[in-house]
Amino acid sequence: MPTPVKIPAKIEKIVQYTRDVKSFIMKPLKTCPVFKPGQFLHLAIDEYDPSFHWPESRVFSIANSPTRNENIRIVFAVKGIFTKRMFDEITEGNKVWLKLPYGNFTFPENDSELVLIAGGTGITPFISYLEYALDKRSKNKIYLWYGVRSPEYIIFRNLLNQCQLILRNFHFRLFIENNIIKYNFDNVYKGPLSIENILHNNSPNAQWLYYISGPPQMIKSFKEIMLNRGIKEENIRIDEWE
Amino acid sequence: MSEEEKIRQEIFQLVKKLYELKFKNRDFIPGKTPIRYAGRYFDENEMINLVDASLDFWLTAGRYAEEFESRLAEYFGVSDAILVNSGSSANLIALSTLTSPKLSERRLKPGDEVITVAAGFPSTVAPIIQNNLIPVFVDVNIGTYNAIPGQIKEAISPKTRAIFLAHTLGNPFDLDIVIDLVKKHNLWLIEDNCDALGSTYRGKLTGTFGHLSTISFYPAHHMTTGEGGCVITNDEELARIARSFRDWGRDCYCAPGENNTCGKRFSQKFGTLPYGYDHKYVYSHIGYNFKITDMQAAIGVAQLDKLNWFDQKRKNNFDKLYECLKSFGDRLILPEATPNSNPSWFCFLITIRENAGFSRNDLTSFLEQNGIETRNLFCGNLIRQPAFLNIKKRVVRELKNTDLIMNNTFFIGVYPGIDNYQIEYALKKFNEFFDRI
Repeated sequence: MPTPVKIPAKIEKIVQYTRDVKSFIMKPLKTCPVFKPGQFLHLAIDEYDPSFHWPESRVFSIANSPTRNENIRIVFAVKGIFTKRMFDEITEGNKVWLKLPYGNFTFPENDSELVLIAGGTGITPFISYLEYALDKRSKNKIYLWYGVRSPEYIIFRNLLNQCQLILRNFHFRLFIENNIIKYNFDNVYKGPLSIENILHNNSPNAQWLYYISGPPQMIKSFKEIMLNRGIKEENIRIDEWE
Repeated sequence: MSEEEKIRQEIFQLVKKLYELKFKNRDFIPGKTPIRYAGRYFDENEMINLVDASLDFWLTAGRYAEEFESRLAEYFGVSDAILVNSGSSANLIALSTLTSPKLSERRLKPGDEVITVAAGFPSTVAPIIQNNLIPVFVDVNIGTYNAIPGQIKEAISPKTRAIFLAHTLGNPFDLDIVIDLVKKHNLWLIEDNCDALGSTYRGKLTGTFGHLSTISFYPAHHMTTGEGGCVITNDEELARIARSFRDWGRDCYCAPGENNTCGKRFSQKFGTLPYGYDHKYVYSHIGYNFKITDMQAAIGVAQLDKLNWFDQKRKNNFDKLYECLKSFGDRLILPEATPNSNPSWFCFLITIRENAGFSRNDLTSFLEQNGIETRNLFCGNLIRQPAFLNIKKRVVRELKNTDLIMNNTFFIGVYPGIDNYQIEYALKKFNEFFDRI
């Protein structure tokens, strides 16, 4: 992993998706380091002075492709004091500090077949990858399983529509726990994301690489079941943070 | 501008003034001012960066180290540049990286053989011995001073697992043949690029052919940070292992003074430690502490801006010496670039022909008396050095040329601090020597 670099960034745009989910679109004020789809960054609200320690920060998946790095995007939900500060205090035009890239939840350059499993804002690393797949006209077979609590939590709908239209080998299923309304997606289901359902459709196969991103409990239980079903550990990639 | 920034700018102005007073435009007095074989070359920018980093008082690797690593990786077009405290440390880290259990069956194990040469600097070979591996020595060509390709081929045995060679004093070794052997026999390749920063082979920078390569930033080298070095790789797995060996062997990759950058500090299981044991203190290798300071890196950032010019200046100085000294070709063997290469020469190597009618010491003593510094090709024949007499080793054929180098070879400088007046003076002294014998 290359050396992570600290850069200031200006908040160009804030998008609010729900009462507790927002995205920041940030313009790097110094050269943005090279990153890979699926990697993450640290965001600090307070000023960084190189004479002192890096201020308090939190990690967020980079929700855009490295092929579109003129801006950096993150999506976050309010989960504690820090993200509450981000939600309440940060406005467009503010400066924040970023430190990137980090992580090995990255996507293969080869033609592996991928099963992407996203719970809620866990979709964000896959957004980076899907944009990348679009820009590179990827021929990888990609199955995306995406579960949300209720319809307002579906983010990046346009991108998902675009993937369905452009990527020949892209397959997508959306699960909405609390409600169901009409969307432009072929496969919208009511109910929670179920690993049994996923494995029934993408049955364990040495060819598949399984990527799981979402709430820690979901990741843990899905992984356990997958291991019990004989999927090799090296074929399961998880985006796990504390 | 903040108050702090104003104060810094005032200090920088004074630093610039001091540079101009103390270091700029120093006169060359023929016969009195020594012509060094190598040395630092800098201007006020290196000094300002150094002071800037010291005023941060972060001390260990910080913002300048980040920038330096990123820019070095960009220069080589690779994923990772890992700064260390010397070129020798870089060699030790590079070889130790290949012993990591994280590489499973691909790892180097005690008793495995590593092909190298004895005509070079000890820290190319020492890491092989320090890791309980067996160096296999091949002879070198006179003129290129690099391993004889046919002998590398001949040296490969069922125990051979790696090739670790230096691009001798800037001159690339035969990468066509070496890469071919690496692929054919599934070997690791480490390029000791410490003396060859900026050299190319078939238009590609040396240091980008092997699984790992190394650079030195000692003041004698192509660019300097005082003490310092770097490991280069385009393999992110090797890079992570190399960083671990550099940073005490720890598994965590947080930079100095940082915590939990992976977001999994207390939620992993390692060895027989309890689940959630602080990742900052989990050790996956028997490592070292070879980190660099931010003050060193700050100098490196300013030096990197000059690197292309440094390389050109070295080549120009080399060409001028070559053009004039070739008339003594009946008594001196002059350096020759490896085919398909464009060396960024570390120095100008000369071997006295066996029937020249004078000894190396006759010539080097004369040059030294006239203020022209000379150096031998480091160890001469390494296996004749006291520390290496009893090491476990294998030698392929006799090291006849290596012995000739030990007895008859020396070098003079081509570094950017040598200007036209100094080159002319040095050449005048060569002529005087040959007039006298």
